[in-house]
Amino acid sequence: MNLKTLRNSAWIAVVGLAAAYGGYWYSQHRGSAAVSAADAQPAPDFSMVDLNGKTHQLGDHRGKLLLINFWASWCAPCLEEMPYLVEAQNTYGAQGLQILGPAMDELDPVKKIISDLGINYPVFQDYTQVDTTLKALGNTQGALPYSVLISRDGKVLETLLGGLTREQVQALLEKYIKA
Amino acid sequence: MDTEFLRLMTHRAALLLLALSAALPVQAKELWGNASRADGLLAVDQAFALQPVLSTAGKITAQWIIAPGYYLYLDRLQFASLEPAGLTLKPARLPKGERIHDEHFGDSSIQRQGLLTAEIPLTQAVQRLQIRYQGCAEIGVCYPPQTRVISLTPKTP
Repeated sequence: MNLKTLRNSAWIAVVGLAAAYGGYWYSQHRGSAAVSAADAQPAPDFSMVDLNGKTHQLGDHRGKLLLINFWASWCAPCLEEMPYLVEAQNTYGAQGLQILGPAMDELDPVKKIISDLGINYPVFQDYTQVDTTLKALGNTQGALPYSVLISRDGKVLETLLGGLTREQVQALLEKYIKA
Repeated sequence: MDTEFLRLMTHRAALLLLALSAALPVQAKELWGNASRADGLLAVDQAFALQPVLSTAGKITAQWIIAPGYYLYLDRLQFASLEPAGLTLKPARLPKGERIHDEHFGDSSIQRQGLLTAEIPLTQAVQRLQIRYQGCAEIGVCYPPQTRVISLTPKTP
C-alpha cells in the first residue's frame, strides 16, 4: 500500500466515523426534549380516574418525581418498554418516583396487559380524560409511546416520544431522582 | 488541473457520499413533506396517505402511499360495508408483505414505504365503506388505529 492510498483510507475512515456518529447521535436524541431545571415550565393540570376509581390530579403528586407514560396494547414499542417502567417503580418508588400509565385503548386489552406485565402503578383508560391529558402535555397526534417527566415541584423536565431501553430509563431517573 | 488530481477528488467525493448515506435514512424522514412536527414525526395522513378509493362492478381498490421510514400492518387492515349494512365482504387481496416477529404480537405482515394496494372483491355494490388501518414509524413510535368512512360511486370498469 503506497502512501497516497494509505492517506485516502485514513481520510475515508474519518469521514465514515463522523457520519456514523452523527447518525447514532441523531437516533439517540430523536423525539426527546429535555430542558434545564431553570427553564422548565409548569406542567398543565390534569384529572384522570384510574382503573380503581381513584382520581389523580397533578397537585396530588407534588413532592414526587412523576413519570406519565402514555401507552396502548396496539403499540409494540410501548409493550417493550413497560417492563422497564415496572422495574423502575420498584427500584425508585421509595425515593419518590411515581409512574402513571394512561392508556389510549379499550378496557379488555388494558386489563390483559396489566395482568401480563404485572403493572405496579396506576393505569387509566377513560379515552376522553387520557386524550385530553395527552394533548395538554404536548402530543397532538396520539403517537405512542409518549412519556413526560415532571419534577417534584410540578415542572416538565423531559418529554420523550418513542420507546426507552432499560438503560435509558435508568439514566433518566438517576439524573432526576435526587434533584 | 491534472487528471490524477481530478481522479482523486472524484474518488473522494463518491466515498464521501457513500459514507454519509449511512446517516441519511433517518434524516430523510425529516425532509418528507413540509408539515412535520417539531420532533420530525409525520402526521398520520402523511405517513399513510390513503388515496381516492375506487369502486368498479367487481371490486373496490384502496391504496396508500407509505412514507419512507413508516410501515402499515397488513393484518390490521379491515374493511366493512356500512351501506348496505351487514353485507359481509370477502377478504381483501393484499400483497404478501414482510413478515416480522414481535414478542407480544407474534408474527405479523407489514408493508414498508411505497404503494400498498388492497382489492376487495364485490358481489354487490357498496355505497359506504369503513376502512381501518394502523401503522408505525420505524423509529419506534406507533399511531393509533385509524378509521375512515368512504362514500363510493361505482365506476364502469
